[in-house]
Amino acid sequence: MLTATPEQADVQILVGPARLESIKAVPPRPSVDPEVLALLSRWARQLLSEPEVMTYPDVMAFASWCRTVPGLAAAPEGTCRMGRGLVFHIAPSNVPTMFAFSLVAGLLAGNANVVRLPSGGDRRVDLLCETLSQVLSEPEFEAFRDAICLLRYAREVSDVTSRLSRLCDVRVIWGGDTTINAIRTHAIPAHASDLVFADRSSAALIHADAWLSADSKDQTLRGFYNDTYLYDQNACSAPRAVIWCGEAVEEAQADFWSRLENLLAEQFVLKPIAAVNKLEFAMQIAATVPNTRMHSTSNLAVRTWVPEISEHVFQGNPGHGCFVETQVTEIDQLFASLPRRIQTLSYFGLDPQQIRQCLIKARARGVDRVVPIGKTLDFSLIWDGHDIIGTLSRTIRID
Amino acid sequence: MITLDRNDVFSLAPFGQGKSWKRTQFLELMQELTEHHARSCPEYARMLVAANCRAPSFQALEDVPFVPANIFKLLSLASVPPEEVSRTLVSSGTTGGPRSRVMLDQSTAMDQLRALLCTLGVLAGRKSVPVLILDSPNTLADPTDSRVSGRAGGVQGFSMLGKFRSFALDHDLKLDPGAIHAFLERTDGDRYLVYGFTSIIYGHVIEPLLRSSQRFDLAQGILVHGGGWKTLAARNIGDAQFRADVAAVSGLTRIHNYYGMVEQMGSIFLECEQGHLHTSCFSDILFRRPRDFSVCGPGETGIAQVMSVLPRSYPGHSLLTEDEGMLLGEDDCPCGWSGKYFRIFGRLEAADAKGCGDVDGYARAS
Repeated sequence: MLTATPEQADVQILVGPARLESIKAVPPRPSVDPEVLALLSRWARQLLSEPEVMTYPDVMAFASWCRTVPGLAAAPEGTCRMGRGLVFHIAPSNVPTMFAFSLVAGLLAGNANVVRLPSGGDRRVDLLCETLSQVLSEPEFEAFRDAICLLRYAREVSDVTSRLSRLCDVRVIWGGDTTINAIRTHAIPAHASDLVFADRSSAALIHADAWLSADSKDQTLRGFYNDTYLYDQNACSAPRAVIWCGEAVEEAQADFWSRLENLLAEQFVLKPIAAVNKLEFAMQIAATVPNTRMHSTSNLAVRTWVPEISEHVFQGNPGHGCFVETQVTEIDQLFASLPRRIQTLSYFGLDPQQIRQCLIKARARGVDRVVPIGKTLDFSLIWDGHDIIGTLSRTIRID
Repeated sequence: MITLDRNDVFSLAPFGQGKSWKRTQFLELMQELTEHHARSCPEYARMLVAANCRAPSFQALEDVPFVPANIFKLLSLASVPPEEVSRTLVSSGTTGGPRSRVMLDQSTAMDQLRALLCTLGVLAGRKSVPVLILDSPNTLADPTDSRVSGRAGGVQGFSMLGKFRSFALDHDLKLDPGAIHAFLERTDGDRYLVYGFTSIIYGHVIEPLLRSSQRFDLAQGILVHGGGWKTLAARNIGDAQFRADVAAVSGLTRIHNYYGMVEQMGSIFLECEQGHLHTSCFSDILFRRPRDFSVCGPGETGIAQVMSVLPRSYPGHSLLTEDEGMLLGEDDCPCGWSGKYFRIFGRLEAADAKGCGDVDGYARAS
């Protein structure tokens, strides 16, 4: 059964054992094992000691997350948690550091891990792999050498996917939907399960009056810029809709967007094709949704005002600074109508406790995550509505 | 101002109309077309309303609203009732991607042909001349098929213009020397047009001939070619190389490239003897800045917006392309033709194909 042969020429192993047999033989650890925490903290230290890492804020962010690993929940009382065995991760390409978060979750849960890296080369991916390799070569972490394998192969080499799928106990698939469907054609063992992260979209909710009276405008705008423009708005958590509530919406809008335009003029390089694609999206919405208004002042941030947020207004959004906007009078009513596809709701000028109550009261289908504006890219071990550590481990009840 | 009848345009000298005509009569035709489409195509009307262009009164060509050409890939837009649509032009499109669908009724299809005839008349004379098509007769296989590709549409258009026509390639896109010789015999030393898709000409006529010792004498011909430039660019074949190779295998030296799109078939931008693309009385062009779509000055690179007086059955009279180019001047090209003359550099560089839905190629977002 152990026939996976990453030795073959079209598979490139960046970190890990030369043979997959050894990884399958690694026994699970208890979740949140101190040795794992030591490894993570050492990796973080190694990253932060590399001058080149300083030039990548997202790698920096990973390193500081790794040092402390926030959001670790204790096992329920009367239980203990252990890894499930081998986790096979299919990493996404739109956020290069994502594979590392996925790997860390797998390690924390107590598993051995094989990660398929995005095939397009990215310096950040290389940096993360190089530093991890270095740390694993230290005698203290010898035990992990067989427990971590980071590899890269062309999407077309599906027999590798097939073999790794047959070996794993949990498969983590970072979508899109097309990828998920393609990967799902490869069988996993009967006892194994898939943890999938499908295509999602996100929205920002801003209280207009709070915005106008805020004294932290610049900081919030920078946060909004990072949420959206840092990855060309391609992260699922990047808001593509901006929803306004409160009274002085028009005034707040004018202020918010003109300040953002100023920031964009300094920091954002618009690709000419993106200007065309964004117009295409706006015009398509205009043609199909009555009472749409296009009201951008430039092509840096293209805005399309729609009467309400529906599944349709997220379709075909090309990113690179392309927003639909709307206004709601009651937030309750907003949560009742937000589509299932909404992942992250980032907010400004609202009380998270109030949002929590509204979500529950409105019996919301959408929204799996509520964070302040500026925090949408912060990875959490609770993601897309899943407790990742819980899903990647066995909760063993002991009476 | 005397209102111009659309039909009058077809009796004008295509490259004889200067600035003042463009800024009055042509502008008025654009105004009328915009109003016509706003009345007849509900989606187009909604786009205008959304863009706050409700009751437009244009002062200049740059006021004419534009829609991205790709919108025809996303939506089926028609300004005539469905029963009047007689054919649908379909763009070649990128592999697997959606294709443009352009709805033509009889009168728009006829206008496209008339415009093409007028424009090419400048090269070959108003009198109908023979046409040698550097393509396969397969492109005409089913003239009743209501769905036609851009390449087939071009071949059909050009072949209908000719006094008579012959195809230089057989059904397998291989050179048919017999057909070429028979054509040359019939033309008997007179002038004739040679037409083809640039990439087909290069791959199926020039390259095979360059590899063999066979040569044809097409020196009496005028070659008009366009489309499929991506294939050539990928092989690093520039315009000069193309011309030299064509001349080497066929003796053809009167060679005119054209720029045009399937969404505005018939109003082609033809290259003059100076190697400049020109607007005609049927068309105009603006280049816009990516930052805010303001209009570029001469010599400034921008995104091409193309205008045509022909599209009446679909709202395609003013389109934003995905092509990059530069205005060189207006009414003062040394070739003597009036109108704007310009250069097209090619397709805008693609955005990274990453998105929610992309693990390499496809993908996802965290």
